[in-house]
Amino acid sequence: MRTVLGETCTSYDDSALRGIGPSTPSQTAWAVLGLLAAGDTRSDSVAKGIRWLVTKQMENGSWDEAAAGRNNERSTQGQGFRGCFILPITFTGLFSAPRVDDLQARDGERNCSSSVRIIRRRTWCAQIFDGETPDGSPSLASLDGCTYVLKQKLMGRKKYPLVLMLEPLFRCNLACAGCGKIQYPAHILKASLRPKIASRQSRVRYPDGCDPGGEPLLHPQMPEIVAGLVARKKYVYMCTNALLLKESCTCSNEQVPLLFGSRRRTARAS
Amino acid sequence: MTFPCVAKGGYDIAMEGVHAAVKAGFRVTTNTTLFDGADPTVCVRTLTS
Repeated sequence: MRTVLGETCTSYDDSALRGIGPSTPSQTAWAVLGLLAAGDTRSDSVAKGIRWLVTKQMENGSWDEAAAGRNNERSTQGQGFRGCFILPITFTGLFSAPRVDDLQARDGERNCSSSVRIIRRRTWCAQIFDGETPDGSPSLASLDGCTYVLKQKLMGRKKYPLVLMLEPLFRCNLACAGCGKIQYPAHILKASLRPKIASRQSRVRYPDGCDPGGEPLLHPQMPEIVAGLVARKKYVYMCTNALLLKESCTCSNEQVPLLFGSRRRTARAS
Repeated sequence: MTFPCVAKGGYDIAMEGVHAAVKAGFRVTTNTTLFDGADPTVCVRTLTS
């Protein structure tokens, strides 16, 4: 096997394209990790791979993915899932904090709950701070994020949490080649993070929460998890492949209430 | 071998979801990799239409 690895964007489709081209740190590291995971700890291939990575490491501790290969060749390589990332949109992010006018319109006109008022105040601050984003929705997270970081700096903290990444499940409704999550055994793929655990994790001080992992919209209790995080004033950023997004957005049924449901529950919670 | 993520129709379903989320007032961003040779006008049209 080649210890030093390169690939092209279509190497999953055409096996003749595997293991060619200039080597890149990410692919070499993946190959080494793969060999180590398979129990190969003493081969020349592993040693050469590690040595290559060590020699290529830059002063700042990182690696240069775009560096030329050993014969000074260069090529455009996709870091990620071969063949899949050419979908222009693979993942989308959602901020769970909705626009205030939407909230008021949907949550009953008369009494805004306190959590809605909190969002409203934040929105007002954010508008003063940095205006509105081009689509008209205030950038809620930016001001809170700046304030949080500034506070940590003033307190002289060198290390502080910025984001909590929850992986509520590894299950997915896609089977992309190269995805490590869906390779897990069935009993792990069946498992889902319980809202109580998520809630406990959210007590840690951090401004943002993020749901990567498998496809979060498949999680039966995702509305509950999101509502819990929102109630704790966390910004939730969800990575989804968007295949179930439309029904989650448009269905007002309590059974699939991820987006609207989380708003209602947030509003009702306090 | 065909993988579901490159199956026909997946892109349209995802885009419908994105539009629905934007319409519902959520902030939606994409994680998009652009390679050399990509047409900027097509990218802009895709992400803003």
